[in-house]
Amino acid sequence: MATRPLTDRERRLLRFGGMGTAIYLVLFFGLQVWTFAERRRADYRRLLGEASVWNDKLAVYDEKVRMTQDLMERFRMDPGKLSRTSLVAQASAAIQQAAMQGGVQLGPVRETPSRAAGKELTGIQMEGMGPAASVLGFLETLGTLGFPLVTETVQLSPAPMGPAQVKVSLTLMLLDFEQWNAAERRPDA
Amino acid sequence: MNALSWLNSGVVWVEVTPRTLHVVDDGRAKVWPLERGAAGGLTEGCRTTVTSELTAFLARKPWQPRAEARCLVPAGGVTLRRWKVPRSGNDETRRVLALQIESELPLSPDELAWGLVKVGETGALQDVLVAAVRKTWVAEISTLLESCGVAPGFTVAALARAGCVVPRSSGGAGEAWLDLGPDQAEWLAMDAVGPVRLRVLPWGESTLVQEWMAASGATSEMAERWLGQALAGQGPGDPASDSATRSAWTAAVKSLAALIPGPVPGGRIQVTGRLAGVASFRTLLAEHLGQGIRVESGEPGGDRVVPAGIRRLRDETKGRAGQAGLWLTTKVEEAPTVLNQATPRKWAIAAGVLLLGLLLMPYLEAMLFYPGLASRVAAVKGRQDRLQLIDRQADFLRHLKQNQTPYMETLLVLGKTLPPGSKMESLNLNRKGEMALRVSMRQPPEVTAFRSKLSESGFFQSVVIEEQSPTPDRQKIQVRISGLVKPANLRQGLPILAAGDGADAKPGEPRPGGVPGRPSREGVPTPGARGPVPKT
Repeated sequence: MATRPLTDRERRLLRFGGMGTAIYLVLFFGLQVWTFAERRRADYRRLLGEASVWNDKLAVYDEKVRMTQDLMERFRMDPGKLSRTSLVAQASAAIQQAAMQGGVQLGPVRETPSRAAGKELTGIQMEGMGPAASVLGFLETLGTLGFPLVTETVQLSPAPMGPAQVKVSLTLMLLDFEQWNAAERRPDA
Repeated sequence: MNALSWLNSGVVWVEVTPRTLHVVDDGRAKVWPLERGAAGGLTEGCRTTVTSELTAFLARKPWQPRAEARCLVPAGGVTLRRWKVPRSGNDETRRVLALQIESELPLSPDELAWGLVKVGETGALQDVLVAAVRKTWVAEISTLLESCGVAPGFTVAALARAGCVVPRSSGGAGEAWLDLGPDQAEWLAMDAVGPVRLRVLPWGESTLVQEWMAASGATSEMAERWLGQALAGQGPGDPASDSATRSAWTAAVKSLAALIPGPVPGGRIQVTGRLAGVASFRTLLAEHLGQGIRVESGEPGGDRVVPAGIRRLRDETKGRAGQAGLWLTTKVEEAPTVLNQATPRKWAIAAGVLLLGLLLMPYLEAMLFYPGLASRVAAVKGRQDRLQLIDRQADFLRHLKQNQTPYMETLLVLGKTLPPGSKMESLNLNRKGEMALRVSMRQPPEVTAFRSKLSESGFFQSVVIEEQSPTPDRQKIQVRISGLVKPANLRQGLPILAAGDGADAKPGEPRPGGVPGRPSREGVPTPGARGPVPKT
């Protein structure tokens, strides 16, 4: 069936109607798209700021990690791998082993209860004697035994056995890493 | 009329003759006389009058869109050509025809207003009718109409009367169209395909009037009246009314027949104009032309006040959008400038695209990178416990390092400062750096010197001689000294620690026990030993 050709007026009416509809659709959907895009942009900027803060934080950690690794190598110890239950026994055994290997004859060894405030696992008091070189070697190895030992006091005096013999009295503290909280600052740190 | 009719500016129809301007707008028609100067251009007064009156006649509102004016121009100065060119798109055809015009017409396409319409096709070729007129001719009328608020488009009136402006199917044996105006006639010959020749003939209604005045001796006012009666085909104007009239008609028609170029295509002449309605004139003309030529009225239906070309073209274009057909392009090609050159336009478009991209980039960036960034931030947040562990470990190890008793360093300093022959009886040291030393020396000045060396070493914050007393045999002096070792950070880099027996020691790198570098036990005094071991 042949359709009647549209007149100029009808074409114009259709044209304006189409334009009006198109403008409405553009405004309607455009507003929604714009709102979504603006919200996403605001979220993105907030996230960028957050990422920047994290970036600054992590930049500090680069140096901190490097320093920690150096200290772990120096002390030959990874604090995270220390077993609290057997730490005292292992440390005591290692100290005595080091003394024997260094030629130091150990005297009495006493373990003292820990001080909770100091976050120390236990205290070890010991005496020993031997040649001066052996005693000094023994003292040197205490820091590299792989245990968190802090030498509280050292007392050196001549041993009665001979002129080259030295008597040493030591008080050692074994630190407890599990009680350690980075947020707290130790008074003597 | 409908609700949106106020938005419709409509189409204004205009026919321009050498002496008049016919304007038809929305059923209203008006004619303005055109006064021309010696050079042929419109006079200033005429232009001003027509502009003001036409603007008022059109009565367009300022907010209405510009109305389209379809103007019919007379045959004078119009060149008509029909060429065969390869079939192609409109743009390509126009380019080919521009070259054709360049080679065959005396003026270049840039100096012409020209248009084309396809009138037939044969195989790969198409027949194209081209009409061209000097651009300056239409520019004058174009400027006049534009100043009245309409946008003009031009075509040839003779083609409009013959129905050749819009494309049509060819057919028939051809015919001729003769338009008789007040002062001149236009002759358009058409073969079976379309128009082939357009001529202006120096014959018009004025010729008939002059012949009658010569035959009857009447005045011009009487002649005007007589012409009115003649055009009505009645009264004294009827060719059969009297001998003077008859001779005037005969002489005028004879001169017209002599001007008509032969042969007449198809043996038929369609006459338009006011004389077309006079049957006796058509008969007389056919008699004078002979050869069985038929002379018929080509006047289309409608109001006779409106020129025939406008009536026919209006009917043919009714309901069609735009200006399809032969319309003369009057746009003046601008000289190449930075702005209208092709390359700068490309750059301008590129710049626009870049600017748009610049504006949209923040949003695109947010759309593209938000998911990735969000997942990365979430991953970092998820590993916060790892960071806390690093903090704990770092703090723990730093505490361990800073709280070692500096016994090895202290022994090294004592070894370097004790005077020869002295004997260290005992040494007590704790991790706070508090030192208690018992030593025996030979002479009292050695005690002072020893104390000075300890103070000058920079290793101790304070050095106090708590007791200094001679032994019972008066051979030696026993000294009890207490001191406070400086904190680790203040001890770093001390020369007494750097240059010493620890050959591989590095300043500022204390090892467990407080010895910089790997200590050598040589040179380190031990209790009971006499004096320091000499350096090697």
